Amino acid sequence: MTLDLATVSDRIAGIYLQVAPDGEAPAEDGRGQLDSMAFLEFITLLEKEFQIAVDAEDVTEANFATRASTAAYVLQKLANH
Amino acid sequence: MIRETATVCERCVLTTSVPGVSLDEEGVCNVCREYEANRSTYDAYFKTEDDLAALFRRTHSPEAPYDVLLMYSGGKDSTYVLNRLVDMGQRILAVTFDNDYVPKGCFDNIRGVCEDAGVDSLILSLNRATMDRVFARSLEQDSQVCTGCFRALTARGTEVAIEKGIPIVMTGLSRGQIFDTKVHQLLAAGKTDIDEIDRWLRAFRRRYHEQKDEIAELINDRAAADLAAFERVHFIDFFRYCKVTKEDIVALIKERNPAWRKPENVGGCSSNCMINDVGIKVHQETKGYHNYAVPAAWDVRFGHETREEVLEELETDLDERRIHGILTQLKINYHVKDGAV
Repeated sequence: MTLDLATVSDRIAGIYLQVAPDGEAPAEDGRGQLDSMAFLEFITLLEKEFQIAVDAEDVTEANFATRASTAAYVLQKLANH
Repeated sequence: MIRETATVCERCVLTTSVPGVSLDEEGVCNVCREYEANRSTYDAYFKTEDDLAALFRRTHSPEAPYDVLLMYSGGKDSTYVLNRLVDMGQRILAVTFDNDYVPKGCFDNIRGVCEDAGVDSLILSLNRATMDRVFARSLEQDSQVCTGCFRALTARGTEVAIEKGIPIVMTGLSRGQIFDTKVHQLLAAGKTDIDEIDRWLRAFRRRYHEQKDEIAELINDRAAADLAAFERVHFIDFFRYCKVTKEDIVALIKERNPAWRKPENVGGCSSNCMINDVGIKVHQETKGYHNYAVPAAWDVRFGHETREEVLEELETDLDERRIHGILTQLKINYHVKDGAV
């Protein structure tokens, strides 16, 4: 099944709900405030949820600054799968 | 007192008040058992002084004014590192971050040690009002003072290294601190390849300085503003490459820097910071355990300190009046009941 940006973003919001210290997901263009431990958990769940492998080199501001940029990154990974 | 109020692991210093920690029928905690089962994998992260010497040869640049920017707090661990780096022939810039709670005695130590070793010293600071807001935010966010301060000092240190073209930024974090704050989470996530761990740590560091949060705004973190320059800096923890005991550290300082003294008003877990006890108090009250317990437990497992030495440090009485005074100054009220500051 091909996923669209909105679906991916919603599923990413679900991951934020599990790992964010305040238990909240950022808005579409909002920055998630995760410390490195929570961020690693976030990455691990992201990999499981979308069956992708996140490389350390991909952890950039461009890919993970906002929920929307993370969704775009996931879609790109899925397309290259 | 830890031993009076909780059951402590027979091997390290963890108690069941630390989230996720349980003791088995032999009184040994699950983290000690985890280490026992994975010892060779966990120990493999640490390297040798020969590896460090090789790294120095690779990064040496005659054009650079210094080989190493040492984050020098003036405490005993970084004083040991400074002496050892001099022995290894490194040209050092000792950078101290004055968080406005550094006692006069610590500055005397810094001056004395740098003079003894013939090392240049640079003291950086932010203004008191800004640092108080950083500490207040750090207490709200993490129930401790160290995280905000560490962000400020690593940002400033990295900016200086980039500006001066110094290839290495070095810390004196203990093996326990390195393992707790950086490596253990990656190993627990199944990332056991050392090169992969190093790549992830680098990625985390970049993200750490790129993040636009409240503390970044307060301290004006520009460390990763020029990403290409940031990527050229090597971030090295000296004790990753050097296995020593606390006894070794104290002995070397006694020999090389006989005038070095632990300053007053820094509590049992610090040798350079007067606000440290505030973080310990708030963490204990809000989270129910000492914020040094987890890294110190790793230091016990790695043989850096004995269990008794660490328990003694963790059980040092806190100066409640001084802590209350600082909390009032920071305009902090913490509520034990809901675990929030």
